This record gives sequence, structure tokens and C-alpha cells, in this order.
Amino acid sequence: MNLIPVVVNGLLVWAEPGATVLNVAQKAGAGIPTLCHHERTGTKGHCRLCLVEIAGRPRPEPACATTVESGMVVNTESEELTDLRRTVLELVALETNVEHDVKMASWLEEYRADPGRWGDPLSGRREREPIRDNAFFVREYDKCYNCRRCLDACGEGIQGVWALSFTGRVAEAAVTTVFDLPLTESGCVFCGNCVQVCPTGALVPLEEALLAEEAR
Amino acid sequence: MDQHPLLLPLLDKALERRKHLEPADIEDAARSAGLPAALAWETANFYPRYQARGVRWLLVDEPVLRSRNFDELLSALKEAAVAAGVAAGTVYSYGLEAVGPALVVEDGPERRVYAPVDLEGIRKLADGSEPGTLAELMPRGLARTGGWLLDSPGKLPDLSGAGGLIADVDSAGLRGLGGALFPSGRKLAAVQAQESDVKYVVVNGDESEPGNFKDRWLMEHNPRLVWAGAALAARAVGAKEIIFYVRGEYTAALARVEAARAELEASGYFEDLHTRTFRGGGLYICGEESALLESIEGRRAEPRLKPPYPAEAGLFGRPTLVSNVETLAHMALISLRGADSYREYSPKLFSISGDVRRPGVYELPLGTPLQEALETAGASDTRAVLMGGAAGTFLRFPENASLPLDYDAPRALGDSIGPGALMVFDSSRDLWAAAESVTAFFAHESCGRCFPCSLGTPHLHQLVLRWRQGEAQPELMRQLGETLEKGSLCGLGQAAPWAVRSLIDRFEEVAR
Repeated sequence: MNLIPVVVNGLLVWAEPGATVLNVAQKAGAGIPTLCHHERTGTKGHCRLCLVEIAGRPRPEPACATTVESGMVVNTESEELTDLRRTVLELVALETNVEHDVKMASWLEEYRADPGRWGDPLSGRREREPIRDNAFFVREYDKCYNCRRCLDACGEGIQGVWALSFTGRVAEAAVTTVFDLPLTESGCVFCGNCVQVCPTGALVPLEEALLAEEAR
Repeated sequence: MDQHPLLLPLLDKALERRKHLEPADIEDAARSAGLPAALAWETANFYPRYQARGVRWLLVDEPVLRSRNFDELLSALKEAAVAAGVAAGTVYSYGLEAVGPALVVEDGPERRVYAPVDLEGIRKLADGSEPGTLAELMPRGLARTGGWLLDSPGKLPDLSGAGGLIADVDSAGLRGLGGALFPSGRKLAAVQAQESDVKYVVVNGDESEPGNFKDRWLMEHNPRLVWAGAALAARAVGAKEIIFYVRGEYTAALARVEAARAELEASGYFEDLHTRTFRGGGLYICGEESALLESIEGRRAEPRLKPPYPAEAGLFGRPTLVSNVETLAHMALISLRGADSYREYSPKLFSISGDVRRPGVYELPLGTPLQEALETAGASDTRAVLMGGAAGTFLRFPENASLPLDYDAPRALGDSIGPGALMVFDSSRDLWAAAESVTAFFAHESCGRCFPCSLGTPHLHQLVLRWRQGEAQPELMRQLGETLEKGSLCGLGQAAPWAVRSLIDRFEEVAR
């Protein structure tokens, strides 16, 4: 295969045509935060944390959803990108229960995020009660920030079951099931793909949830 | 149309039968549309009319009214609603800024619109009286000038003239008049260049941005001209199907666009072109071109990642020209009058509202100085103009009196005529109140897809509320504005901070 030249943070690297900027930049050692992107489910472009600067483009582009081009000059770090990522991380952490999200915790630290400076949460996310409607896993949507990997895993990304659905707009947008049914009546085949791809700990295997409860 | 019947019209049919949707209706509609029920459920949960239940009284929230007696009217409305035992609230811009204040009486999926209403009318609601004049149709007389777009076109352009359209539109210098001002000739050429047996032309009639009502006027009072432009464009790019997407709330526009379509079809005007009128979902985000396509396809109106652009992969993955109502009307005029005489005059519609004696739709030559536009509409003691709409900026007046209202001059200072709204505020008005309406609008209309916009627009609104209460946080405002503008996926979030930022930067006396 003919590799193409791409410059990442001043470093010349050779990339496979068709690769994403995220992939190429990560291979070149750039640490780019992402909350939504997942290779297997095809999820991309929602969280906007992986925005990078590309020479000649008027605004930052999501690295996960941008294909490398020959001669592309990519910058993954700048004061502006840091500010932008910090703001998004802060708002996510303010509105969502991210206590159990290890990756999120490290980014909050790396970006010196201070969610409290935005005041109180404005959405009802943190107030959501856990949903226990099946023998396999609990859905704790207070921890969900709408990365949509579970939706893609259930629908067109992997399984083609379409048990999960999405509802609402703005900050109240949320994952639900078809007709808000209990999972056991939703057509869910309990394949476990959604639990596997969930980055936040919102979808918890029942056993773990029970153990955590005991520990409390 | 590729494959199946479309979901939204199926849901609307069920809604007509029952006045609300049951899961069984959605399941049936999904089956007919060939979509998973989970997707149809998402869609039904996204658009407001599929969830409407019971009676609600809604005051139309827009910047002009907010700068006046919005609070007084709203509290009277709430009082009357408590007395009558119904719900009260607000709804965003109905394109009635020129005849407001406007009030919507919602009964399930049906809405009656009254404008103007006053305090007395609102108080009378409680005893079952009509609160004002029914305003389903925008008065024709709101066109305050004549002109190429506002007078009846008489004879429509011949479709055989479509061969030269792209070159003519290009040399006429036409831009996209939905607000983005992208060169129309280039957009046409991009769709024309695609090799595909199936291409679409989609007319974007989702005008929902506070302060803008010129597309509504065209759809209600000159729809033949728009259809003619769409037919020419379809011929020029090689499309065989035109879908006219009309904002869901604009029921009169919907009826008139459809009546014009039926008449033109019966007369043979469309030749072998397929045409249909489509009732939109009823949200501002539906006007974002890729979100609009999603909504025709029966999905939540969420913007797509670009590339690919609709010109390459649009409706059902086919090359699609999505073009604004007014833009297409201009294409018909360019064909009728020739590119040279068009260029010489360069008409543009402006929606002028607020503190002017004659609010309405004006056809003015592009480049008209701001002061002249305001004088034509009868403005006096003007202090500020919110130009473009909610996705616009506040300009100081008279400092900007000589600003030419054209495509490029305002851009030098980061402004734009956008779709052509001029909301005028005199020195007695509270500009912060107008700005509060703008941020409330975005915090209501964000689709919920990308994180910066879905989380940032409510916090932007919150910062405005706090600022008004004396707790200014300029650094947070600046950072959130940057995050929205640079980080949001589409133009909605990107433009959300513009109005507030311009107010803070340019009106030191209110920014304190």
C-alpha cells in the first residue's frame, strides 16, 4: 500500500490512506481525549473532544470523523483546543455522575477542569433513578453522557436488534428503549454488546451492581 | 422517491385520526416506512407535535416582544391559565414579529394562532373568549414594498431555459439566502457534476429563526415563483424530484404551497418532474440542510457530519440540492429577467420588525445603507439593530448608519445580513431582555447531538440570566462562546453566542 505523508504536531508520519486523523495522531503519540468514538460500533463525532486543528480548515475538525489526506498538517494541542476540551469536560462532569469513570477522571485532572465554576447542574441527568428490569444488567443513566455507543451497538453498528432508542433534545436527550418498554419486552437479546462498549459505567452487570450496593 | 413511504406523513395521518399517537400507530407507521420501531420512536419523541397533549396557552417568545412587555403578558397568561385550569408557557418565533405579540392556543396537535394580542385579550382567555385576531395566514399587506419578489410574477419562466441557469446564477452573483450566503452557482454546479440516476431538489422552507418571516410571506403569497425556481434548478442539476419542506407550524403556508403545486402540476408546468409538499417537523434545527434531510428520511433532525455534503450524498444518499425558499425565487427571476438586469438591481428581502412604524417584508436593492432601510420602515430614535436574526449580532445605531446591507461589507466586522432580519430597538428598550430571548431560543432548539451545544446552550442562557441579575462572568461567557462557536457540530451551536457576545462587546453601557 502507498502510504501518505501527514504532519502531526510537527512530526512527519506515514499514514495508510483512509485512516482517520485520530488513528494516525494516536499512533504518532498524540494524546487526544475522546468520549464517544468507538471503532466497532462506528460511533463518532458527538463529543467533540477530539477536535484538532488542520491547516487550511476554518475551524477545528473531529479527528475521529476526518480522513487523513496527503500533506495534511494536523495540530492536536493548542491553547484554544485545551480551553475548548476543558469546557466540554467540565460541562459533562457537572451534569453527569462521572465518579465511576476512570478515564474521565484522568482527563479532568489533565485539563485541570473545575466543573463547579459553571454553577449548579441545569439538566435532570443526575437525578435519574437506576432501572432494574432484567436479570443481567442495571441501567444507571445518571452516569450516561449520551456517547451513543450502546445505541449504535444495538442498532446498525453491530447487532441490528434495535431494542434501544433515544429521546428528548438539548441536555435532556437520553437513551431509552423502544416505546420505553422494560428491556425484557423490547426485543433485546441480551447480547451484552451495549454493556461492553459503555465507557461510563452506566450499564452495570447485575452482579457488580449488587456487590457495589453491599459495599455501601 | 427511493423505496418506502416517508415516516412523518404516516405519523401525521395517524395523528389526524386519533389526535395523539399510540405505540401501535408508531409501530404501523414504522413498518410501512421500512424503519425499525426504535427509530420511529426516536422520531416521534423528537418533534413537538407528536407529544402534544391537551390544551396549552403559549406566548410567542421573540426578541422584540421580550424588549417590551413580555413579562407582563406572560404573567397575565399564567394567571388566566391557572383560573381556567390549563397549562401555560412559551413557544419560539412564529414569523409574526411584524404583527405581534402572538399567542398560540394548542389543543393536542392542533394550534390556533392569534396576533396581535394584548393584556386585555389575554385576561379574557379565562372566560373562554378569543384573545385576539386569528393569524393563521400572514397578512399579504405585510409586504411593504412592491418589487420583483413581492409582486405577482405573471408569466413563469419556461423550463427550457434551465440549460443556462447555472452560468446565469453564477454571473448574477446570487448567494444562499437562508443565511449562509454560500454562492448559489457553485452549489448548483456541485450537484450537477455528480453522476447519479437519482438526484433531488429540496426546498428549505423551515424558516424558524426569530426575526425572519420573508420566506413565510413568499410561501403564503408567492409560492408559484418558488416552485418555478425549484423546477428550473431541478432541470439544471438533472434532478427529477422536488420536495418542498415547509415549516411544520406554518399551516397556511403548507396549504398554499400545496395548492400552487397542484395548480402548476395540472397545467403541465412541471413536465415530467415529480413534486411533493412535505410538512416539516417543526423545529429550528430542521432548517440545517443535513438535519432537514434526516427529518425527511424519518429520523431525528440531527445534523450529519460533513463531508460528505448533500451535493454528494444527500437525501437517501443521493446528490441533493437543498436550497432556501427565497434563493429559489431569485433563480426564477434570474431566468425571467436575465442575469445582467438582475445583477444591476440585486433585490433582497428584509424582514424588518421592532421599533418601526411599518414592520414587514421589504424588497430593497442589495447594498442599501442600514439607515435608508430603517427610514423606509419608519424607524426613529434607533439605538440598536439585531441583524440576521437569533443567529445574528447587535449593531449600534447611528454608528452603523452607513453600513451597506450586502453580502460582504458587514463581514468585515464579523456581522452578516444572514437571512435578512433587522430587529430594531429604540433607546427605551432593554437589549438584555432581547438577548435573553435569543439564548433561551438556542437552549430550547439544540438537537441534543453534540456535547458543546447540547450542554453549552443551557449554560449560555444561565450566564445571561446571572449577568442580568448583576453577576457578570465575562471570562466564563467568553470561554463558553468560543467552545460553542469552535466546537459545535453545526451552525446552530456555532452561532448561538454571537448575539450576546456582540451586546457585551459593543454596548459597554449595558455590559456592566
